[in-house]
Amino acid sequence: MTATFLSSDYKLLAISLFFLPLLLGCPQQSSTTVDDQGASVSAFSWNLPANIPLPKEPADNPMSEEKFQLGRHLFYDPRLSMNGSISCSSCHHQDKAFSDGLSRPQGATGVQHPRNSQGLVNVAWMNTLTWGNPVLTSIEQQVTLPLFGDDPIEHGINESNFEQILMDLQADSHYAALFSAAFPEQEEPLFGEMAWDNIIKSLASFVRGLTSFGSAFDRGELSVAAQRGSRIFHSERLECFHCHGTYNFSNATIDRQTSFLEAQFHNTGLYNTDGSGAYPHPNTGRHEITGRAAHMGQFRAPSLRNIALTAPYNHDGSVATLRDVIANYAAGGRHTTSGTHAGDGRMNPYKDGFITSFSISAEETDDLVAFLESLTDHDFINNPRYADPWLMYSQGSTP
Amino acid sequence: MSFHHALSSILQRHTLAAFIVSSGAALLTGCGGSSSSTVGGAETVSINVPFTAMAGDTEITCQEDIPSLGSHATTVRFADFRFYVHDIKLITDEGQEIAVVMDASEPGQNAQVALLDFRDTLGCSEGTAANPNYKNSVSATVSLSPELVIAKVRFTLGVPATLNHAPPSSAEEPLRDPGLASGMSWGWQNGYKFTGLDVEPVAGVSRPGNPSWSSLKWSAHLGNTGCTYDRQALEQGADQECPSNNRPTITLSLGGRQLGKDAAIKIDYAQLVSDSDLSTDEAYASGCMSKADDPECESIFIKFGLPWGSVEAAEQAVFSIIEQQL
Repeated sequence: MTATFLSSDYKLLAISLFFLPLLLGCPQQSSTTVDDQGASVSAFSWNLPANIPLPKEPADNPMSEEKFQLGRHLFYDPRLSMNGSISCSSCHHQDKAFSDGLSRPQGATGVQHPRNSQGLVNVAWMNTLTWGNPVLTSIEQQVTLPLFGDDPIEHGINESNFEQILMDLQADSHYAALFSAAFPEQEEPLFGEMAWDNIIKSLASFVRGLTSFGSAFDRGELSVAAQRGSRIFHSERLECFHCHGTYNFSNATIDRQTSFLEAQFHNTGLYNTDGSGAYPHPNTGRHEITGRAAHMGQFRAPSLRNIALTAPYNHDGSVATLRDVIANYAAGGRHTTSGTHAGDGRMNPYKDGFITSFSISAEETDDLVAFLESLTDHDFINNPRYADPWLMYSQGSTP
Repeated sequence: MSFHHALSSILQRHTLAAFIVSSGAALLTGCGGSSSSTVGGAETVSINVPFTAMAGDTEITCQEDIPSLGSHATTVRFADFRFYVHDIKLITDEGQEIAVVMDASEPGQNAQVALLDFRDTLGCSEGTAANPNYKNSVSATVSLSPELVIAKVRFTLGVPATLNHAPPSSAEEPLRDPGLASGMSWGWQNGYKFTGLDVEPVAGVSRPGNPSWSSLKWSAHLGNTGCTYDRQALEQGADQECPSNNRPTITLSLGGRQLGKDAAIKIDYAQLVSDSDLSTDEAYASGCMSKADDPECESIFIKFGLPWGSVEAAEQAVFSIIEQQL
């Protein structure tokens, strides 16, 4: 567009520069290539099976091994709380696929969280984060909630303690090297004004790097029972796959090849406390954020990978076992007959159209559970890359 | 609590020159302040826009019992008293709007938004040191022609849409969390609390019909709610399409007084909660956190001059101009 103002020599230069990227591509690639818009480019070794597309990486926080390792140290560090009592790993245990085995955990002050700790499995591929929030779309955003949130208090970091907490981290010699390696472009990544931003980006990088595609299912080693369970899972009778589809067993899955995915939230008929569809406050799901009646009780379908390790189930941990989950779906919802949450969830007017009830025999339930158990990734829960680095220091080794 | 280093004021033609001072200088009262410059009859002058936080006639301080607030005469202590303001304007008697340009170098404010903070102690906690971030005025400059008569001041409560949705950990103060915005960011809604006005009723908060429910605090939090856009879309302007932006614009007549000389903007918590029962909470968060169907929000929204559901916006009742000799 500026060519008319340039001399012919400059025009030539401008044209040359325009084609320069194409010319540079030639010596390296003689075959025809398709520009994949960076779909296969990462500075991080994702080590994924060939059939799994790379997840998106934020432009302002691309993955690196150094940030992953720094985030790993922070994830397991209880100094990152108001009283040194909890770390991220307090509610996210590797041996439980980073869930915690509790219905609802407690924060640093003993306040009980209204929701169940989710497993942290392939979080990088989820298009929204937490149980029912349509506007939380990056792990960087999500990480700030447990760290700084005051309703409920989790880590309890606030204006009266954040400077001291940072000083405690600064006093640990491990961190100076880890921060410098993770943010080499900054002069003072641990002591400068971006220190907290760096903490958040590193924690997000660690969580983003927790990948699990090494189950018996992935290896094609399903038992006979699990094979039968797979057919039941994928049947039109049960309809599981509509919400728990894709390679990540959740329809809230995105990757670099996804251009757009509508928010995916579903009411599964777990409650109906007022006969008009109400879920108990504050766990009204997507409705809690949007305020729209039609969003009452809508939650994001979790990935089913490692689901056998993450009991108890559902957003509030109110369902004890996988068999109970299946029984609720078979009934077309949960009918709670007594207590403050009594109500017939089967009649919830906001219930998803796929939750219609189905018949399933005891043997079929066994098979379905066997299939779900085949999604357990033992390499994931034993991977030393994801383990507590501080424990390794104390044992005299290096992480 | 200390007031401003540089008091200045303007706002009426015959006294204009007397109140031009250079920002940072200590209370210059003479004429011909050095910071003024004249361009085509208009002079750029430094001003302070002072605010004062009261509960009726009582100045708001932390950890002091304040009796008889709300519809049920509840005794409370304040736990937080902060709010953001932006887009301040002076309005002449002929309706001309004059932009007040915030001084980006002053603590607690940048060029676009300021965080007023009326907690006299750190974290509004008992036995803590003085709050270093206490802030009761906005430092700014304004370009004025001597013949203009300033009749009103206008400002908008909250964080402007263009700044409300960026990541708080790298934001410019007073929007940084952790930082000045600690306790003011609203991560689950991708924004900030516009007002953090929290009290602790000395007898606690109870819920009718639910003896197992209790709360220590009763909160009045304005903020964007109901928005289903993600952060990227919000940053690109979708904020304006959200159902509840909840940024009231406040216009106050100066009544012949001069802002920063003998007048200040008063926020009156007693007025805000005059129709609210601070001892009980019917549903959802204790008090009002801007949730579209929270029963405690109706009177809070109405007092701020915001619409509530099908109830149309009325004249706000929370802010007023009061005499204050500075």
